[in-house]
Amino acid sequence: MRTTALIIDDSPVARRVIRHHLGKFGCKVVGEADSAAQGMRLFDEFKPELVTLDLMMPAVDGVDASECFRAMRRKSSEVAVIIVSSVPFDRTRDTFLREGALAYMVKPFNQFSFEPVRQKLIRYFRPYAA
Amino acid sequence: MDNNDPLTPTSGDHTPSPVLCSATMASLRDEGEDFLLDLVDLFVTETPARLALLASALDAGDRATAQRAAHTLKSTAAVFGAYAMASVASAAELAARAGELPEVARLLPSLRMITEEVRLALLSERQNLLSANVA
Repeated sequence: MRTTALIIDDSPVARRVIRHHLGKFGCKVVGEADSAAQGMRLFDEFKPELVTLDLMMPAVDGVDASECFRAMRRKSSEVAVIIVSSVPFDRTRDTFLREGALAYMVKPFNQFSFEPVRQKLIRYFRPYAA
Repeated sequence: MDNNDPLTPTSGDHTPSPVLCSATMASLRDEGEDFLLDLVDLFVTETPARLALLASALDAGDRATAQRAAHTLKSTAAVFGAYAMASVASAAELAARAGELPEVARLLPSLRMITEEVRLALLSERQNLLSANVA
């Protein structure tokens, strides 16, 4: 069965890029949100196994990406969250990884961005195939 | 298809555009033509709406909406390696976040101009892809 995924990113172009790569990994994108607030609503509705979350999106309705991440992890410790960020700081990355993010991917995307994520997805969702 | 128009790129001609990062565009091309055409179409349809949203937010003194619109323009530009556009959008985003809407208004004409340059470069890329298909 294909891994269900939710993409949270304010840029439709960035969402299209992420959707493309998740599709290549065999994921089924069940929803796309352009804000953390909408992402939380779709998370409750679709209960995806995987979420990609743009960290730097400005808050909407008082909800920012960090709160969204923590709320989703509280609701489901099983959900795999890939943080997507234009901030390449180790400290930020380490904080989210320590709090349970599966991966931290730095924008802008290039041909090398998605391979480490793909490896982590394989290990997480298909450990016997790795 | 014969192409005698000197202003129309010839098939297979992927001369780097100064407004787009050639390495980034090459990696997008490697993901497939339909994919890249989709991205170009999204840029062409989405960015005018974001610029209009930014302008209307400035008129309304709505700093949060201005910040979001500028942020989205920055993220969208970065996907194509349009770093000059991303840089101006980023400056507008930071100014909006700081509540400096007059500074955002000062940046808006530059942002419009460079967004148009990116749009034209992407349309040229689109033309290249379609011409290569027909040839």
